[in-house]
Amino acid sequence: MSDKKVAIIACTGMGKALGTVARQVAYKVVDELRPEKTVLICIPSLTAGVGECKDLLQKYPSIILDGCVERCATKITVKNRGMIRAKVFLPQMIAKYGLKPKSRTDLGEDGEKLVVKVAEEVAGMVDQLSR
Amino acid sequence: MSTEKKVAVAVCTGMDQSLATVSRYAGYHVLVRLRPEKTVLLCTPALISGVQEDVEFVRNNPVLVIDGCGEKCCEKIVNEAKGQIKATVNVQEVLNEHKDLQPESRANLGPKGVKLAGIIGEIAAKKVDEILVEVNKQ
Repeated sequence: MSDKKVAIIACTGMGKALGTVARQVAYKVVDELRPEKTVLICIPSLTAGVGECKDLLQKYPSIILDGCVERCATKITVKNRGMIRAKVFLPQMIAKYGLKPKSRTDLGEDGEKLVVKVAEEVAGMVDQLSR
Repeated sequence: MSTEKKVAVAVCTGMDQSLATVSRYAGYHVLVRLRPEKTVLLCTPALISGVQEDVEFVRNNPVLVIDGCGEKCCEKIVNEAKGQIKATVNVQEVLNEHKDLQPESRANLGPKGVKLAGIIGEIAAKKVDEILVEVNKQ
């Protein structure tokens, strides 16, 4: 059985609706679209040294989902010596699909559609990286 | 001009368990609905990656931590950033007292999980008040 998996690291930020979008995209990819090909990295666990997140991050190629210009998910992955192979910058996805989330606690109809669109795009990236 | 401090609410923003999603929504409940004028919500990834605004806020204001589970990652992260933790709430501990309010999943809390987040928000709001009474005495 192939062990070619991809690590998904999402911004889990609290300040903006795009933090919630990033989180939901990651769940859609890992739980529904590509469960057998992906592992989900938990940023707080990674930072606090809990569980196997750091080992997984250093073992598999990563796809980063950044929510804003601070690009915290990228910075944290670099700091922990992850192998970044693809990045998704969510503000660009709003522009690309013309779908804006309503709020950080309620994504609304457009926000939910945005989650699906971006998750499908990320699943395609997973397929390429796991070949 | 008021010099009263606000409480920085730091929540577990973990991805693995539904307990983290509960803690996230409890944080929003306190900030948006229950104590908007007394709290500021910290962005945990921003704190980890060293965003100046978040780092300064945890160092200069009392912090309330809402952690998801026994690993207490958020508490560790705030301590690492030299934040001043004044109180903590643990979702797992509250869930142990409300076993019927098991969240549906990490992506969707469902009505029971949302109710649990509301209860934790209420507990946290009371702790915010207690922290501010203590801080303003000093």
